[in-house]
Amino acid sequence: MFSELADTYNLLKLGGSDYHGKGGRNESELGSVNLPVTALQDFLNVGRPIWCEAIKATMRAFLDQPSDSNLSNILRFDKARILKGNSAWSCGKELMDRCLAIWLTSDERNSNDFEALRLKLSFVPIMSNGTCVTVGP
Amino acid sequence: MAEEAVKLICKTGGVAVLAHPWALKNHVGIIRRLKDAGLHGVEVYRSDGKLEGLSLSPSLVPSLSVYLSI
Repeated sequence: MFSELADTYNLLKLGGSDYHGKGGRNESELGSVNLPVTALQDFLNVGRPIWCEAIKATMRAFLDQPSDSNLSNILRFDKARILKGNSAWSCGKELMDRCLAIWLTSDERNSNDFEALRLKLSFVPIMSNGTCVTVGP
Repeated sequence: MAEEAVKLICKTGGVAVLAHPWALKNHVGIIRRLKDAGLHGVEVYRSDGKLEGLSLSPSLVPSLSVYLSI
């Protein structure tokens, strides 16, 4: 029934474990849902372009205003992996390359939009303690 | 309210999905409205992987319950 409705309104067909962390006896385990692999593929086909745009917006915000706050908005997504093995980034481009390598496929991160952002961010230095200063190109 | 939530999810780079549509009295009308607001998906598969039909009688669900996840 809801499958037909999803078809009618061109909506993704998804499912969830309904896990709420309450710890009750009848609670399903986190992530314990069986979905057809095609449902997951459809979800990613819709979701990934949305996430790419969100990443661009986050990077643009940092480019426009390279503040600690905007830097932390980038680092909040898998911060441990982003920072792992890092000695220091000299500029925003190096940080962006590190993040995109973790978050996106090579096809996604090689888009023209990201290339333009990469170029602009090469003029945004990052101090070794994580704070930033801006210099003109 | 739910439409505002969907719009906010879309605006902030999320994927808006309606959970538990079978708990709604007027699920067709609500899904249509939320679709217009930008809804991307709807819960169809239960945790056991089966397709969900209208398993609850509307009389058992007296109040409107909308759950949105990203």
